[in-house]
Amino acid sequence: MENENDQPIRSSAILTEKQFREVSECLSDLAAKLKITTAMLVTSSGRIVSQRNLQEHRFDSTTLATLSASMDAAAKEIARLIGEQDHFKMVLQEGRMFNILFARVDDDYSLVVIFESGVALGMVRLFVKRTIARLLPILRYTQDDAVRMEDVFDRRFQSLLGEELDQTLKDLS
Amino acid sequence: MFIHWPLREIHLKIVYYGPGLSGKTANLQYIHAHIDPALKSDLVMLKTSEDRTIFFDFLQLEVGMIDGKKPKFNLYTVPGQVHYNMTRKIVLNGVDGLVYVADSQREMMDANLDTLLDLEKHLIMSGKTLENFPWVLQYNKRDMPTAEPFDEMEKKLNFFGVPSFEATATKGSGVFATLKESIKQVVSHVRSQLEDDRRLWA
Repeated sequence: MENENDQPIRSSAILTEKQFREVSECLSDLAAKLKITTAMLVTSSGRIVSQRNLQEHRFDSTTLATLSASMDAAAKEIARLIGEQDHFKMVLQEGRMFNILFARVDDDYSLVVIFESGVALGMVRLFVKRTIARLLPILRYTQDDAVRMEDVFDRRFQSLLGEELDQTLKDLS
Repeated sequence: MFIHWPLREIHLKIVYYGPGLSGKTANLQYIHAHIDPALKSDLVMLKTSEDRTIFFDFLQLEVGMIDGKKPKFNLYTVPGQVHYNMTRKIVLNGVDGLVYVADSQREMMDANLDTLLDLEKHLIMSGKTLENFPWVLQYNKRDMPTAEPFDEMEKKLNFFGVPSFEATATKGSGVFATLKESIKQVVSHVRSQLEDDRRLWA
């Protein structure tokens, strides 16, 4: 009988190697076309799927992704409050040096694009829309490189994590 | 939960929930101040001018490489004040586990219970219940003169017999014990969720 742990996981919560490669290509293309400062795909819970940054501008990406996802969630609720059926697809923040465009890919992902304020907004919108159209099919599940259950969570992982937590979180009280 | 398999990262979201001023932010502040700097992000705090949480506090915690994988725990608080109900709902989006921080002071018992019921309402809206979700209880402010006895707190709040901890978050007592148990519960729960996913697709 086949071991149940040998079955691949099919879950939208898992990003596979192939998806990562293809998403990264999309972001590289977007960054190259527009010379943007940062392009980042984030999950609705604020985790980074992939990002492209210009060397001279490095932001705290963990915090940026968390705040971006929260902003997207807040915008969604605001849209609902005012009766906007197909909630805001793009939200723009304009600054003195940088502009930042938050674009909803679908319910699970958002694209965050930071660009210098001199870059034409119309071009950014156009290429962001095209990038979203490319991203959507990639983010759907692909079976050919599915992740195996035993590679993610197993008893050994759980037990080692328990030991590491005891080391890291030593109660000082 | 989000698994970034190419980077071997496992992201889990734990939310500290509870009534206003029960000590949710104090938990994160203590954790942030007492963890190896290499294992934590900045502590992000979105506050009002009166120093109260308006959206959330956030802290990412790592424990290094475990069996070739890198677990990352994303800790959030919610704003406790009653009128931030919608904000609490937003912060709960994608939550994998909860720490309910109750205020041990006798006069706060109604607020503890009301907020717990408010949490249950939000969970139900996303297809979860307190009965089938990984959560732990923390009875905070045990150093206060009007703190209810532990057994009373258990009777009033711990309907489902979840793990519970006494704490004085400002001094650090009980903070790590609560977090450790919460993480262990979340990981067990996620494993069984993934197995359910596998069965569903088999």
